[in-house]
Amino acid sequence: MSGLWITILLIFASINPPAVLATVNRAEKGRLQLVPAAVAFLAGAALLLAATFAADAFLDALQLEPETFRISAGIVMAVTGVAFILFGPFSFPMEQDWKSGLFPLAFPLLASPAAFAAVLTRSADKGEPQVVLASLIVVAAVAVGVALVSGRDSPIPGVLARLIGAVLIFRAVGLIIDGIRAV
Amino acid sequence: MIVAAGATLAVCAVGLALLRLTVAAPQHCPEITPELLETSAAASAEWIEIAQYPDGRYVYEYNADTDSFPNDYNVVRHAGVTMSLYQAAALGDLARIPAADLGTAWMQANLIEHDDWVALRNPNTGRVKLGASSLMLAGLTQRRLATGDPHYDDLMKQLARFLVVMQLPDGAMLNFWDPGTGKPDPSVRSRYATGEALWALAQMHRHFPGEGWDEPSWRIADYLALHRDEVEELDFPPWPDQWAAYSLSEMADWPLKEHHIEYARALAERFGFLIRVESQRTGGFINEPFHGRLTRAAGLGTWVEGLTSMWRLARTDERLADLEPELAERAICGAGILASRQITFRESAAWPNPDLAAGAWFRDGITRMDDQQHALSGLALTEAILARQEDTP
Repeated sequence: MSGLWITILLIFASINPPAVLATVNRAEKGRLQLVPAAVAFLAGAALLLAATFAADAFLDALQLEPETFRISAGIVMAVTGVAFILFGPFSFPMEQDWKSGLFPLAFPLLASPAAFAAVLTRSADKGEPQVVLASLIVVAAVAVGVALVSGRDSPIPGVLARLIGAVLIFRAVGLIIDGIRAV
Repeated sequence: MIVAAGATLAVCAVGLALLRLTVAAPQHCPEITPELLETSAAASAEWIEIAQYPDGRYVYEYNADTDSFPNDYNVVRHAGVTMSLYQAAALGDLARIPAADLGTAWMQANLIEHDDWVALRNPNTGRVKLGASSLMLAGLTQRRLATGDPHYDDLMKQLARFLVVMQLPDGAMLNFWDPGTGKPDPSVRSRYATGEALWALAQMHRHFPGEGWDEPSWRIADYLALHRDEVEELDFPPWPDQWAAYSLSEMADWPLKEHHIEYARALAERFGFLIRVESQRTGGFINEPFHGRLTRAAGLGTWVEGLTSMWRLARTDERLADLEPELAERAICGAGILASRQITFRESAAWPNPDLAAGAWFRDGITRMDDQQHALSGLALTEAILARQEDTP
C-alpha cells in the first residue's frame, strides 16, 4: 500500500465516518442540512490542515522526535478505537443550524483527537503534501456522505463504527510498534 | 452546546497532559562541544587518579551523604577502571599512563600462576574471576596501543592463555576458576565475562596476528550472536552488551559474518533505544514515576561505549553504514547527558569532600569507581565522533 493510501486509511479510520453518521442520526431529526455540512467540511479541513502545517513546529516545541511522537499518536488512536468498540459512536447535542457544523461536526467528530494525531504523525514522517491531499479527500467525503445518507434510523452505522474502531486499533498498534522500533 | 464543547476540550486537555507526562515527555539531549567533552572526560580521569591509593587500588565507593568509604572492593572493577585509563591514553591522553601502571602493579602483585598461564585473583577471597583477567588484558592491549611498549607482552600472552582455558566448546566463557580443584567451575557462566574475554582476545589478534587468538574469538563471537541470549535466558534480547560491541568493532575488518552484522544491528538499536528513553528522564517526583530513575553513570556510560563502538563498526562495514548518522547522534546525546550530570569543579566546592566530588557522578549521594570508568570511556570515545563532525564541511 502506498504512503498516500496509508495516510488516507489512517485519517479515515481516525475520523470513523460511520460513527459520525450515527452521531448525527442520534442528534438530528432529519437529514443533515447542506449549510452545516459545508461548515463542517470547511472548519474540519481547516483544523486538520493547520495541524498538518504546524506538525514540525509542534514537535519542536514539545522537544519530541517524530519517532517518539509516533508512539503517542498510536496510543491516542488505540484509545479512540477501544472507545468505539466498547461504547459505540459518541453522543453530542446538535443545534439545528450552521453552528452544529462547528461543534460537534468539525470538532471533535471530523477533526477528532485521533485525526489530529494521525495528521501530525504522518506530516512529521511523510511531509505535508500527502497529508493535505488525504485530509481533504477524507473530510470532504465524510461531510458529503453524511449529508447524503443521514436521517435514516439504522443500526448499521453503529456496527460499522465498531468495525472501523477495530481497524483503527490495528493501525495504531502498528504505529506504536513502528515507533518503538524506530526509537 | 458551549458546555458540551468545553467538556470535550477539557477531556482532550487531560488526555494531552497524560501523554505529556508519559510517552510524550520532552527529550533532552544537552548540547556538548568538543571542548566540553574533553573537559568532562579529563575530570572523570582525574577523579580516578585522585581516588587512587599509593598501592594502586582506587576508592571503591564514596558516600557523600555520610562522607564515608564503605569497606568493600571489586577486583573486576579495579581492572576495568585501570583499563579505562589506558583507553584514554590510547585515545591520546598519555598523562593517564602512570596512574594506570600503578593500577597494573597492584594487579601484578595479585596474580595466580598455573600451567602456562596467569590470572588475576581476589587477594581477600582467593577467587579467580574471568572478568578481572579479561579486563586486565584489555587494559594492557590498550596500553600497547597507546605506547607501542612491548614490556607487558609476555604477561598479556599468559593472561590470554588463561582466557582460552575458560572457554567452553560452544564458545561461551566460564566465570570462575576454582583453585581448590585446579579447574574451571563448569556451573557458572557470566553475561559480562564472555564479552569482556572476546574484546581482550580480539585485541590480542590485532597485536599478535598469526598466534591464533582469532580462533577462540570467532567462537565467542558466534556464541554471542547466535546463542547467548537464549542459553543464558536473558530477557528482551539482545542484552545490551557493550563488551560485545567493542569486540565487533575490533573485529570489523576481519571481516564479520552476516550473523554478526545482524547481531550488531540489534545491539545498535538497543543502545539507541536506551539513550532515547534516558533522554526523557529528568528525575523528580513528577517525571520519575513515569520514566524511572536516572540511570547511574556506570550504566549510561556503557550505552555510550556501545554506541561509539557501533559507530566505528558502521564506518568500517558498509552493511551497517545506514546506521552511522543515528549512531553518532545518539552517542553525542548520551555523552551530553553524561556531561550535564557530572559534578563540576565549581559545584564540588559545596560538597563535604570536594576532591572526591569533582568529576564524579552521584546517585543517592553515592559514587562508585565504575561510574567514572564507564563515563570516561564513553566520553573519550565520543570525542572521535565530534572530531569527525567538526572535520566534515
